[in-house]
Amino acid sequence: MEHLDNSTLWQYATDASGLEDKIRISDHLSNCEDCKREFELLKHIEEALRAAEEEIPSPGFSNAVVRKLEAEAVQEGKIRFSTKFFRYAVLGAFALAFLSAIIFALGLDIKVSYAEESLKGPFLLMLSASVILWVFYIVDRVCNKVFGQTEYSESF
Amino acid sequence: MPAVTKLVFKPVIYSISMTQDQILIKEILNSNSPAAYRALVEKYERNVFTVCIKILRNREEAEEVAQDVFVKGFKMLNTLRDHTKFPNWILKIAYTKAIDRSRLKSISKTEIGQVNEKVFEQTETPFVVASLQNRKEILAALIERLGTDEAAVITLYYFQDRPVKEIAEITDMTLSNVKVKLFRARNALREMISREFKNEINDLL
Repeated sequence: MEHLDNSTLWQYATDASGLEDKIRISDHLSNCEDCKREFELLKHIEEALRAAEEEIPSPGFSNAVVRKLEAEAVQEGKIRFSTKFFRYAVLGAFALAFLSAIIFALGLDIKVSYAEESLKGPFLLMLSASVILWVFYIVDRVCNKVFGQTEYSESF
Repeated sequence: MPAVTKLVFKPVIYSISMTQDQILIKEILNSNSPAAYRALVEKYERNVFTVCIKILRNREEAEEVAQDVFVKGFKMLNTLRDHTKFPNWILKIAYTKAIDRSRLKSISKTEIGQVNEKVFEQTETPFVVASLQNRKEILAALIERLGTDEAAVITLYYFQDRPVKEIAEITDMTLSNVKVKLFRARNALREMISREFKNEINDLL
């Protein structure tokens, strides 16, 4: 008599066989001691696996997670503050350097009132504003890239 | 005069159809508080820890990785679109992190052998007549000898009753790949039992 193969027996032991197969396998098992013994073993394995229990972590597990998160929140707060401060520092330094360069270009011996008039000119004002805004935008993008949160792409 | 019924309006109104997970996640996202996250951690800590320990085979390391999994889960919670899928999502993070960690370390075979021998020394009874509790212990020890993927699939399927489709989602495997790994893992366990109890089973049969 030809014995049932391993895959067929596993399907029967895990209740994954079709109705026709179930009848055929059941008939075979009632006539074949070897297959019946093998089936009994597989059924015992399946039963023990089904009864398996989950592992339990230490009692303070959830507390440890919350503590870790709180500690990281404090740390992140510090980083966020320094990042913000860094942006304004760069922007302030640039604005200062820009103004110094204009004053230096106009010459220190020129009357202050003349320099003031030049600065009030619409072209120079617009140029200054757009340069400052662009610098702020670039600094902002760089800071986001360096300090920003990374995306966690998931299919859920 | 009829008693005046005092109506209390809650600021956040939840839909009746919302699951407990959805309510918890909504509260966590609104408050951004780690303390609010505790309930979710307590609900799923066993699932996450079991996956980690079965892959890493070390309790301390599994606890450390499981904690990191929940920390990452909290930070990335706003990226989760379907809140009802939180259990599968967090298990996916657990599976990925544990597999990454297991790749970093090499598991000494002698260590595993020693652990298992200890279990078998205690159990001289052949597997087929052993009590259910004994069989569970033996299988738990044998699962440690499986490859990490097989151990993870067996854990998700039997320990956590996840259907094959969900296991495929969690592990990023195809359905047929999960089925093959499950079949291989069962067969490997059967072979290991045969080897370990060869003499006893032969005597019995």
